[in-house]
Amino acid sequence: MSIPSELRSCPLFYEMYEKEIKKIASRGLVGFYKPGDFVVRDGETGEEIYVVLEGQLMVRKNTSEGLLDIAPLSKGDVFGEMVLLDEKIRSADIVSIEPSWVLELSYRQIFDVYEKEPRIFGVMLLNLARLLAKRLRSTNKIIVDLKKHLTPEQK
Amino acid sequence: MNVLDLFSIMSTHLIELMGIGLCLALILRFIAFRSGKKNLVYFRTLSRSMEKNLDKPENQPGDLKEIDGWFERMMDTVKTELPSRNLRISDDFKPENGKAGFRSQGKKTLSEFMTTKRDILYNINNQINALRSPFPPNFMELSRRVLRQDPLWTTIVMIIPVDTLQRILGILPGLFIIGGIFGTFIGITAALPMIATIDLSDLDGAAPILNSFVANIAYSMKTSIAGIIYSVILTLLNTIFPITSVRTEITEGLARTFEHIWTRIHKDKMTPGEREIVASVTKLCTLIENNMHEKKSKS
Repeated sequence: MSIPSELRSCPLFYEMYEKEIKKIASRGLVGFYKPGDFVVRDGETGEEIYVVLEGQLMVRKNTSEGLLDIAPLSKGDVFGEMVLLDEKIRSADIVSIEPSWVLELSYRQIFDVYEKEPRIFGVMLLNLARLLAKRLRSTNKIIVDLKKHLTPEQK
Repeated sequence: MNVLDLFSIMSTHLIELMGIGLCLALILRFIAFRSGKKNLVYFRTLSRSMEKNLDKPENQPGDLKEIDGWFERMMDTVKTELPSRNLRISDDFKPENGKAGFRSQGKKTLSEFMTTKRDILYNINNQINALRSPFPPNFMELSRRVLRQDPLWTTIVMIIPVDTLQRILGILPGLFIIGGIFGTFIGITAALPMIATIDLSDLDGAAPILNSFVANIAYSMKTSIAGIIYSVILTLLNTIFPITSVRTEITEGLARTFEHIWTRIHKDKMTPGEREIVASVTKLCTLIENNMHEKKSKS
């Protein structure tokens, strides 16, 4: 079985050999979501990490002003990774906008890797830390940009 | 039970053992041949679908920089037209009619997901860099490279490697002959010492010994005959219904499709070398024309 190129380029699997990616990914299940299907719901508990193999999803938040589309997710993008840091409550809705195939890996399946292949687990956690750091930097940048548009009273 | 006992049992039941080997070989051969035919139908459909899409005016490749996107779009169209190859693992997760649900049901493993039509198409997609090159690649090698990554191509029932099976089927006719000869020698070796026990003065007592001797010799001949018959059956099948020819046909067909795609991508495009030659020739023609004009005006 050849690994989809989306998994090779997934940030969670950087610097891993194909054999190592296969060891992790082959434990997961691939689900199909038609447009409008929710992959995860805001506020629900979950134990899965997801990688988009095909199609497109949207990160969506229900605010007081209505539905807010936060970011699109396409091939190779990963979401739900906070479950590795013991954060089980989902923080947004993930909705399918196109017919999509998504790989699901459970927390238990990934922690089983720790017991058998600690090196692979270590690399994966390192990648997770990099991913979170990148998102934090991006969020900081957005906050700075937003603050520039605030009036002194609003600040 | 020691090795000698095992050897003795094997030699006693050699015809049966060779028979089991032949049955196993015939079954695997049949499965491999059927799989080859299925692959042939699939790859013919794939090639026809890709060429049909290439011929559509709206699907013509544009700039080389946009080739990736163009190729991916074309493969997506081809994907929807393809049948599912493996009847056990079908790509049947079609959207149900009606409203979108909270969560989609029906999940499969990554291996199942990849061994539907996606695997070969992913592999073809990954070869786009070879097709981008202004110099024609080795299309047969490209085709083999793509096919080698597909488990449905390299294995039978996802377990037995096809190359190994072909090699074994190739040497089996010879092995059957050798088995037959081996049985003959075993039989003769077992029978000959009996002759030494014959008491020529007691011919009536010698009769059972002679009968046993003849039975052993007859068995040894039978193993040779069985070996020859098994060998002939397998050789005839290998000749009349070869597995390799189907696979070669598929590889060549895919290579032709790649060549077709490459030609379409580079149809009106020149290589940097060709562009330089054209530019130089144009410059030369301009110089010659100017020179001739000057001479005419002077005269």
